[in-house]
Amino acid sequence: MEIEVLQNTFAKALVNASRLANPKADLSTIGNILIKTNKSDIVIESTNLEIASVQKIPAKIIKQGSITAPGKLIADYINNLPNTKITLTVKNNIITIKSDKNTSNIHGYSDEDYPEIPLIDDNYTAKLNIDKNKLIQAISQITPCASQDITRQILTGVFIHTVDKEIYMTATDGYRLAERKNIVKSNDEIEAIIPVSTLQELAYNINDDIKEVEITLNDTQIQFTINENIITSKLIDGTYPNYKQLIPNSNDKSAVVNRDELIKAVKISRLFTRDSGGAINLCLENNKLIIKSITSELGESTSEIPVEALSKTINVTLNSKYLSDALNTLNTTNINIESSGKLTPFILKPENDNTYQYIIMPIKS
Amino acid sequence: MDQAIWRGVLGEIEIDVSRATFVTWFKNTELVDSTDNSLVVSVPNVFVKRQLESKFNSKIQSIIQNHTGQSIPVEFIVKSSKRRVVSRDIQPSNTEPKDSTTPSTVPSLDSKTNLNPRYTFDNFIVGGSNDLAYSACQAVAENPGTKYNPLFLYGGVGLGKTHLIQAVGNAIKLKNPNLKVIYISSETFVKEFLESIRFKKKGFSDKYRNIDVLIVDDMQFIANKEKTQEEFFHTFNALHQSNKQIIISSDKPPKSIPTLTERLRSRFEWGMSIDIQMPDFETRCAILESKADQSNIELDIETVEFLANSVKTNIRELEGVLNQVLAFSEMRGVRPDISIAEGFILNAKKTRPQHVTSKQIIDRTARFFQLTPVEICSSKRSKHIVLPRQVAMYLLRSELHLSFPKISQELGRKDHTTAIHSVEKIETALKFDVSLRDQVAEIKELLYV
Repeated sequence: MEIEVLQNTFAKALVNASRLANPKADLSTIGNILIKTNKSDIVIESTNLEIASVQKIPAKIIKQGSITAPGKLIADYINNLPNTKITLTVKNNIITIKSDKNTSNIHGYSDEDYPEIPLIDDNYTAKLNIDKNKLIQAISQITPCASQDITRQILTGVFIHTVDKEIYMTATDGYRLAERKNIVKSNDEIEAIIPVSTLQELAYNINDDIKEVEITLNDTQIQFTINENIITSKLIDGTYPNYKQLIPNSNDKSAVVNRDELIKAVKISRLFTRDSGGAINLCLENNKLIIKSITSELGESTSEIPVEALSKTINVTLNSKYLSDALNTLNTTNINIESSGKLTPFILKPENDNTYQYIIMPIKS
Repeated sequence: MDQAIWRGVLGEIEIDVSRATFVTWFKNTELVDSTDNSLVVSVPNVFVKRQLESKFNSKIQSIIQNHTGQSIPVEFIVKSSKRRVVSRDIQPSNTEPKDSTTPSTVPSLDSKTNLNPRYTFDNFIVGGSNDLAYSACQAVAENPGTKYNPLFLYGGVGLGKTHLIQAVGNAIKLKNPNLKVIYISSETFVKEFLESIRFKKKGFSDKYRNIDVLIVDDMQFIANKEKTQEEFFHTFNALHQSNKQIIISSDKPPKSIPTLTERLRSRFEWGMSIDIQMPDFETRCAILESKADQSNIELDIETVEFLANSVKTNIRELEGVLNQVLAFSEMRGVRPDISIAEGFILNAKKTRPQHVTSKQIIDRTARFFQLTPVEICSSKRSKHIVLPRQVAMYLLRSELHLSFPKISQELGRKDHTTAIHSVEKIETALKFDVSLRDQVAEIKELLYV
């Protein structure tokens, strides 16, 4: 195999690929990435056996061939070279890389043992296109809510489903929940649980040149096509809990709050919450939202924010980490908050936008 | 021999390949189905499936050939709970779909009859408040058109009217699939009727006059709509004359629906009118337990009693709270218990005042009967005051559980036996006197709105 390729395109693709290569896997070949030629392109494949990535980059192909190489090493090496033309030749499984002033020989392995990447070709059950910005926004809003607890596999994923032909995405860890509605229309019914790591990987692979992402699904697999590149992943098997029953039906907003002021107040109050597990108390009084936190040893803090109050009472104790996470995902100047009782779910929504909501279960106090 | 084949394959491959390769590709594979000329092996994910198909298939084939003397193609499938694995020998018990908890498996409506197959007699919980209605419905389902025709069920929201009348339809359909059953809400009836007038559609009257069982839900919505009432009247007559069964539900008895034309009212009263009342405590407990049972979740008695005590007037609301509790505990991965239930009850009760005071009860009762609170507490014994006073005493007892001496005191009586007598009298009267029952129910509604 012999190819000539530009350093920066090659480096970008290798860095993307090397994230999936896992040198600690039982099977040593999983720590490698596969580089092969396909007519006038280089194809770079990598997989951790749950997610796989296939990338195509343009190059000058002098001699066709294929090789696998330790992912981290080759990616780091190419990434540190100056941005010039690189020549890569393979002979007897030795990869020789030449650039301006650097030459290296890396021990490669034949692609014989490297797993074939399963792609969804025509046997999909659903297919749709999503605008890049909408997808990135949904991913950044939803994924932080997914559970880290691997004993509850289902909640570690993001639930994507259709309601009246509209795509919804949801994640929850049982203590908080984020739901994004109406992301895009879909004619196919979808109900799938996507691992969070897949969506994170997807986000890494989306750059400014991309407008749309094509998604195909079947019962066990989901695949994202991003221009020439493909991310494919298994789905989490199981039935997502019927989370909608937890969301209060009432749509009465309790108050409208300036987001930046609330962020600041929460940040201050959090300093005092080390002992109480992050619990802070929100209380509505005379058009003011009062944020309190108390720690017996450290002391206590009270902050006031003027708000537009629409209901008489809010008195609720929340985990301040969840609250500040929520505020980071809301990007409007003002946000609506809804609270109907000390123990009922506390809801945050962007002002004038009903397609996103973040729900926090209060702490008993 | 089935399982032995795959075990043999695994055994040989384990020797041939490295430990890591075996663990990566062959762990958690399982033979799930086999016939004489095919094997189906389940694998944990699509990556393994692809690898076994592309790199190991020839090896697997040659091992099978050695063992059995014939070549049997192997199909690999990815394990998924969404697709039911076809299997004769192995029937994994945990792949049973949980109908009641999964939103995706809501049973679909029968497009011809509009009946929801979920409503059956079997899953209707019978208690003292609805056993008459239940028996009447069963009798109708046994002999449609002959026993009680029309059958008129009435009662408040969320007490099971729709469940019962749909159960009749489903039972009739099950017993005699050839009978034509149609379930509609009176709203739909009105809508279809209007459309038939507007677009001069034909066949509206035929559609409803050539059937064997007509079930109309929420008849009260037909009030005020005279033309529709007339059309319904003719439909009713046509069906009734040819001994076809008619079943009607409404939130009030026929005579309490204002603006129902006299001829329609008298027809509704022809057959059997039964009211469904608020379920008693035991029935509510039974409902909760059966619902939880359908979701395969065990509720402790404490939680059941707490929920049953907290939501008294509406079964739909009761089930709503239960569903919330179950969904919540499913997500948290904990057993539903009373502390979780308490959290949701605060929510469900939001619209109700925490405390109704005795003064409120007396005021509202007095106002309902167009008296002043002073009059009701006075010592006058004229008839139009005595009954309201007794009702007030009954409500103080039933809603606030006040002691009899306290009740007497509230109403300016000296002797608590008056209160005992009054409460007993109203309790007895409520069993027979429909209009009194309506009045009491209305006062209660006033109290809690």
